[in-house]
Amino acid sequence: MVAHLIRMKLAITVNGWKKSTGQLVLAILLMAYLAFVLVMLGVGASFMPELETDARGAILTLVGAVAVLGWIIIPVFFTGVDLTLDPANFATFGVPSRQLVLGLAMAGLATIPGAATLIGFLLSTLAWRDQAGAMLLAVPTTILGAVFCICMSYAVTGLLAGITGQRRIREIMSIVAFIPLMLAGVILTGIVESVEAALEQLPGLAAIIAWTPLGSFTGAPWALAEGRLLEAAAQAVLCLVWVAGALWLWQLAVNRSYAQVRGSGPASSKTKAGVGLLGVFPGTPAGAIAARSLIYWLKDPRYSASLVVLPLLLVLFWFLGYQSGEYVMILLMGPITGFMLGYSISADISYDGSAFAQHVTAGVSGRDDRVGRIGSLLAWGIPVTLLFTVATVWMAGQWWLLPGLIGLGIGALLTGAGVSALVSARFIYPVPPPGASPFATPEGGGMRMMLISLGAMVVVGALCLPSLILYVVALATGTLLLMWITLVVGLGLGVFLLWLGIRLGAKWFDRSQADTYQSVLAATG
Amino acid sequence: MSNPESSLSAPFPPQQPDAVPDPDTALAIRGLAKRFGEKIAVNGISLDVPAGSFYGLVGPNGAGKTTAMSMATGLLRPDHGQVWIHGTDVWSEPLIAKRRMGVLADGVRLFDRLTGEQLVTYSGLLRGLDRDTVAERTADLLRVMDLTGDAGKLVVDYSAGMTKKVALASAMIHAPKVLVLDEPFEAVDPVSAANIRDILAQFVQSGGTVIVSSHVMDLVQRMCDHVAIIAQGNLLAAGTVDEVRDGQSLEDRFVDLVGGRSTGEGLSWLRT
Repeated sequence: MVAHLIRMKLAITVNGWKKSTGQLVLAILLMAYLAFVLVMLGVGASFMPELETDARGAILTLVGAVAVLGWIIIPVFFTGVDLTLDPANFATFGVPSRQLVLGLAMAGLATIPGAATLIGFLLSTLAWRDQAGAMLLAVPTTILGAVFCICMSYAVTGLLAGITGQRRIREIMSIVAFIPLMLAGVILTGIVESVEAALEQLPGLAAIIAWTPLGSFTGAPWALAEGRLLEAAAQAVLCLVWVAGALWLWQLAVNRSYAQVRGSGPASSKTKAGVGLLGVFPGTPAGAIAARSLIYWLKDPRYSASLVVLPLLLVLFWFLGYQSGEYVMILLMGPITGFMLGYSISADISYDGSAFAQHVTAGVSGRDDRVGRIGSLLAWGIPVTLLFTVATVWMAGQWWLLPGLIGLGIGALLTGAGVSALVSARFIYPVPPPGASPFATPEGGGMRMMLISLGAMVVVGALCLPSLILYVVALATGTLLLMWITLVVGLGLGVFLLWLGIRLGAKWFDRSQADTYQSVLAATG
Repeated sequence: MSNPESSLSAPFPPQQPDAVPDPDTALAIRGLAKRFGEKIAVNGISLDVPAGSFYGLVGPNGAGKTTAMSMATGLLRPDHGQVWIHGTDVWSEPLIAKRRMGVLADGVRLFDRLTGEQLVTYSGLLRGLDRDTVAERTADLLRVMDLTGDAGKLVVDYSAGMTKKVALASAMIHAPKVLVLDEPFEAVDPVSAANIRDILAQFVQSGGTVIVSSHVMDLVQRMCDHVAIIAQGNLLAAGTVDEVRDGQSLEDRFVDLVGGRSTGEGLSWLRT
């Protein structure tokens, strides 16, 4: 059973590489990078006997704790776990969940990150090469540590999946969970000031952590090296307890997912009468598309997620201004908002996925499609950009900058929308499918997506350059008239580029509708 | 294989490639072909679907049914060949041809963050209908599909059968002349399926044309008046159901033509 699962996991990985050279290249790059990190780790660990036992133990315990925490946190918020071997898929085989979990744990060690973690933990034992006893104990405890990492990552994500099974909750969570990460910078600034004080606390902290699931695996050899035999024995036993606990939690998660396979529970969504926004926008194809886009802005977390960063930037800039007493950075808010909003729909058709078939079979014209999608963005994008601009100017108390900033912000919004109208007509890139975590990375195509979006951003930036230069000159010379000229140029250029983008994008859309649809199918399935 | 090879196996004499077919032919296909890499998915199919017929398209899995239908409905650009809907070329005058067609594609997503009512309304507005007509027809369609009670629910929360029905409603709202439906009865419960069959039969009686693909021979034999059998990208037989089945049941005839039945050497150990 265990051997079967490992072989299957390897076969799936290799088949993935055969199917796509891109994935193979990425895997090789990842392996090269991990190999480099592991070599550095090994070299570092083998020099550690130079340090005093106390410092060595504290460092190892803390690094181990970070690794364990990483395995618990990163899958939840970022990558998700690799579910090529989803326990739910085994539900019909009637494999006892205990056996299945053991097999999956071993298969987890056979993945690239799993193997790297195991090797990394094992390399850390080199730090005790001058003390045979501690090193001998470190080998089994660190292996247990690697197993614990894998089991916990599956257990935590599995149990959370049970709780967050309802679509709505999962969608909200995936965005909310991102906020503290975005604010990490602000929080860190506060912490850095007290770092010096914290450094002195570290050995004591490490000694406490060694009694928790985070630290026992690397803490036990430390206790042995310092001759605290009883503590070392107790912590070694704890290692076993933690692994057993993680296995039990994982088994619980598997049992739940077994149960859910039989019926994924009817999601009781509230029913809403009437056609909502579809009744508010004009009753034309373009109007309908605008209404539908706006509904998606409100209901599809993949759209709103791209904007979480805006309020966070506002908080960040305000914080910086609060610290220094000068609200300068915050004045960037308006232009940044315009820039990001304009750019935000460059993947609009990719987000549709195969639902785009409805536009193709209905024979929607490129003009209606472009105007609808961009209309919905501008309907709320212009007020929001204006609001941010006015609010930040008010905070900074620099009213004479207002015309220039509006010219920059709205100009960037219109220019970005124009470029998006052109780009999204034909360029499709893989995006998370509807209902997935908006922060999940879609398989393959990462490079292509980066290139297209980077290219589009550079183009938008270049097209905004005239008004930006005017603004800077106006700012440097303090000429109010130039501010007003910036407003006129920004708006004029933006409107022109938007018109041009829609026109060209519509032509391109009409000519290549079917091919665009096939690209969407290939990219999102 | 006691049946003699009937002339139906090669139903079409070579045609002038540029001859525009009779506009009374609802769907005319000439030399349609598509290749994906090494695999030839559709290998030069020619077919005439008369107006007012209820046409079944049958074939084993992977036969090229969906590929052929995608090319006929403007979703997939063919490598070769042409398609006309009532005399209008789908690939050179797509907007006119698509106006006459209602399409239910198999296995595609819908805009499922809309409610059922919103989705059907959206489809109607996309087709350029005015708001009052859309509202009236949406209510009608939801009623006959038995979805009125769930009209306000998000489509993402629908069951598979309900999703199929709401997609079908979206395909019909602009009163097309030709309905092209890929696997319309998959996952639909028997009662709804019977209702949908009635609607389609009525549509055909009033002069419309329906083209359905299906795996279920029995259903096709009962429901359709014409049938075409496709396997491995080739058209094996086409004509009225009675012509094609030639005295046998459609299922037997299908198995004869397509082959692939194993010879009774079963699983000797599979006993109780």
